Amino acid sequence: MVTEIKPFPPTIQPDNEVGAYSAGIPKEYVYSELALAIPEEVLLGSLRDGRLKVHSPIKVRFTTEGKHSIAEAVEINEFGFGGNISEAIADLQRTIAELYLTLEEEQKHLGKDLKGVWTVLQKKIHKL
Amino acid sequence: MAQKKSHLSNVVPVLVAALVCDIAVADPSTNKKNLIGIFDRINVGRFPTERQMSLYVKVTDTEGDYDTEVRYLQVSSGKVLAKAEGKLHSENRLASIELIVPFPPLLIPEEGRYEFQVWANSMFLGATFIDALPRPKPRED
Repeated sequence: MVTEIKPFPPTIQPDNEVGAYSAGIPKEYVYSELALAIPEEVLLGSLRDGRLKVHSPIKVRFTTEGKHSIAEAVEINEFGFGGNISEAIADLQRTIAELYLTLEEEQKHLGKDLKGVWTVLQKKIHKL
Repeated sequence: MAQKKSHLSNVVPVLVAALVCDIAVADPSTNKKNLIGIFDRINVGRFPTERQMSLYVKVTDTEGDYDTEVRYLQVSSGKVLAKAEGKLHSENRLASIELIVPFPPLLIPEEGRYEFQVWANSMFLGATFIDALPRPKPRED
């Protein structure tokens, strides 16, 4: 069984009582064939690290090697590995977060390549 | 030649919460959300099976228009088993937006992990998961 639900109500009503906006219940269920979703490329919008906010999405490309999935942040040449795409994304998120924090600490000792990586990271990630 | 300008926002939202539950409803008088039976694992007597689930999502740091998508997928295969789509609009980055997505019975084909992924304007914001486990056999004492 595959299920597609659409849409959320297109207009989001302000909710004055709780100071938030809310979108409610989908009005329509559509049953249709969905594509096998192993994308070639996605845009990563979070690093699962409360200290860091992705300001501009990070382009990630997927490949497989045998039973392993590999997620590559193409602009900074960093990789995440796992038994499936979800694990590879989580590994890549950890890797990028650690890289950002390490490069931030080691500013005085960065070579030319790592300075380039740091420049890209600064454009894409903000420290909170 | 003038370039066609996308109306979709480039601001990357922050996923504050994503929770799977049995029932998610909004109080009609206050619009406060009530989540009943939050869980992250289910015990299944026999695979394949189906299970009704609702997803609660809260995002913030949003500004402008977003095409939003929630994908329910089997992690081991990457196969999308269901998805929900919708549009969001926000004019205040400091406000938060809550979504309730009451899925119809969702397929659980076999033991393993199933993920609800939250996407906005083709950006992956994060995910939550449930683990489907075989129901333990009763002890024969």
